[in-house]
Amino acid sequence: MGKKRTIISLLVVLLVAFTTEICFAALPYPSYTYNYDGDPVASPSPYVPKKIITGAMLGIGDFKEPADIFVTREHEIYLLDSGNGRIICTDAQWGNVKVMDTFSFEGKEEKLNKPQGLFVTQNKEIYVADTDNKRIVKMDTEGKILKIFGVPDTDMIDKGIDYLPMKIVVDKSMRMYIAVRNVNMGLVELDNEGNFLSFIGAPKVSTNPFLVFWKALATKEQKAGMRQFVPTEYNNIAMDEQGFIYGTISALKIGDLLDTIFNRDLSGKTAPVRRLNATGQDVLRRRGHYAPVGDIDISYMGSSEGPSTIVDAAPGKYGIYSILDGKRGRIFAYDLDGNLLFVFGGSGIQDGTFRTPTAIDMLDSDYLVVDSGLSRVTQFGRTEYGKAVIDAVSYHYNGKYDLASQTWEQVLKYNSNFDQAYIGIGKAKLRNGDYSGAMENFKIAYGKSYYSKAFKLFRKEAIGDKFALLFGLVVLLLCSIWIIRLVISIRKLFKKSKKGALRA
Amino acid sequence: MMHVLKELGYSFHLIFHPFDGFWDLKHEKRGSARASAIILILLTIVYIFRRQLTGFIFNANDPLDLNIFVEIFSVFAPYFLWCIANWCLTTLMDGEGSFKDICIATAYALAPLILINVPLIIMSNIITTEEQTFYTFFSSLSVFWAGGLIFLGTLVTHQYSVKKTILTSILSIVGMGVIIFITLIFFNLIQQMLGFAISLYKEIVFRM
Repeated sequence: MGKKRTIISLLVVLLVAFTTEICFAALPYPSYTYNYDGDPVASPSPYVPKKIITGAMLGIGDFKEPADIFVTREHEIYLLDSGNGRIICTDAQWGNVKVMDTFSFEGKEEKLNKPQGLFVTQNKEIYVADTDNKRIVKMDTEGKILKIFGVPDTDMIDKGIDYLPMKIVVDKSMRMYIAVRNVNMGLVELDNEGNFLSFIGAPKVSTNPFLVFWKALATKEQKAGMRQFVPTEYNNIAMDEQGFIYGTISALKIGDLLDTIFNRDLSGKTAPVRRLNATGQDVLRRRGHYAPVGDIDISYMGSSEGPSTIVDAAPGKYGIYSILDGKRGRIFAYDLDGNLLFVFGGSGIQDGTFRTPTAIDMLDSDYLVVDSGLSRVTQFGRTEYGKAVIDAVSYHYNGKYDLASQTWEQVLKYNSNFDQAYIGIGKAKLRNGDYSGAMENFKIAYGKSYYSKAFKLFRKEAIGDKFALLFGLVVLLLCSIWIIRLVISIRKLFKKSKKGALRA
Repeated sequence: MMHVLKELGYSFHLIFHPFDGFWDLKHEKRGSARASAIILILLTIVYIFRRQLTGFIFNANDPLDLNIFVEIFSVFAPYFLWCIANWCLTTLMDGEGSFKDICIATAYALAPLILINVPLIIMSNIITTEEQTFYTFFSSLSVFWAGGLIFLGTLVTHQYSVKKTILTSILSIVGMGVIIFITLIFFNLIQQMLGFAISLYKEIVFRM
């Protein structure tokens, strides 16, 4: 009896073992980063889809083409359900749902018409870019409209074309910054009364000798027609805690973007994401291997070919910011210096992919991505790997370099492909005075400028401070000798030329 | 042995005194084909070292991609292309230099590339990005110097005036392009003929 039992159980085990299919839930999108050569290298998933939120799930009817989302400091979520002209407000767990679909202004009923942008100030005032009604609407949390700002009264805005405000942010002084469709002179800056102040965020055309020459010859009419500013049309804006505006641009020439990638251009001349200060200058740090433009290794064939089309940016903590690629549905997170931390997301209809991503914001450490094509919001939560990476960055941001170094070692255990970890460890070593250790780590990660810094200090330690001076003197001496010799040879050339002419 | 070293040492004098140098190179036989060959081999070696050993900050090459044949070819091919094209043209344009003279003169003209690159490789390992201008300066200096010497070598060896030298040099470069073009066509033609012969053979073999 016992023997029979053992044989039968053994047979069952074997049966199960050889016929079971391996079953695992893989994410529908790849997770990767880019190395120095621009090749994508696999990385563990930093973020995974945590929750999909549809209107039906909240019990308020499906969303229709939601265009924007805003998370307040108190972690309240405001979703702009554009197609239905309503604003949905919930708490951080998507409970306490409040729908604002009727608005009143001075007693009269008002409606929102395909609003594209939303911003909530610290005083709980809601600013809506009521696009198809050609106005900005300021209201309170009950739907009572406090003020309406129409077309700003200024010559700078062409009254002949429709004024279509798309996105809005408001700073601490209640100044409004608006991205207006078809206005390519940057963002429109209005004061708290709605008076036009200026355009900001369009860089000046950089001058070159040819332009100076041309300007000297041009007639008055020609000079008037000459562009002073590079045409810049922002498609989305977001504000960080210090009041800097992260603006994204998708209307860039593909050739320029490809050049920026291919030439590793870090100047920010062609930049799909910019960080504007109060005067409209781009102060985003671009010190990574490549500029923050999204995908580096790009295919030129197929349905989603070409460089990433950035449609929104979300500033996060510790200087980290993320950009949303509308073309392939990916989210790229960069640190303060512009180093790529991770990439996740994709195109499709499964959890974690999008059809038409339009907006992104952060809810504490989670990401909320709005998909207007599928009319839903996807909430991403971070994995242990994602947490390790962000923790390491946060320690570094707060100056706790040794803790950062330890956390980077942990990250390397998860992902030995991660260049940033080596650079992070190298930076910590640099601060501790271990210059050769720092150099070794920077070399692995191809951090040439960091290596140069570490090497400079290493050399100073080894040889002393006078290296540059000595070197310069030696070079100066050699150069002067050569120049003298050159001058003598050129003189001989003229003499010989005459001789040569005589011979011929 | 001493003889070869003396001929090589002459290159030091030549690069600083091009006119006397090239003249004596040709007429006083101060240089030789042997020394030229050695200079070219040294140049190839120096370029390989430059590729592999330049300091991390300035080195854009992947050390795994080194291909010795490509390195050798990239020194010898342009050298011989230039010599052949130059000889063809200068023979037609009343030049006084023979093919051997051109080869030797051009080889000696490349000496600054060796002389500057050796300390440059060492230097690249001990300077930082802030001192990059020095690196670029010396690198460009070596190229312009060698280029200038080739120009002056052509001038003195064939006894041309400055204008004629410029013309001949430009035409030589065009000539190099023509040679490359014809070589490619030639190879393509041979490939086609060979392909035809092989398919003919296969046809016969399969029918038997």
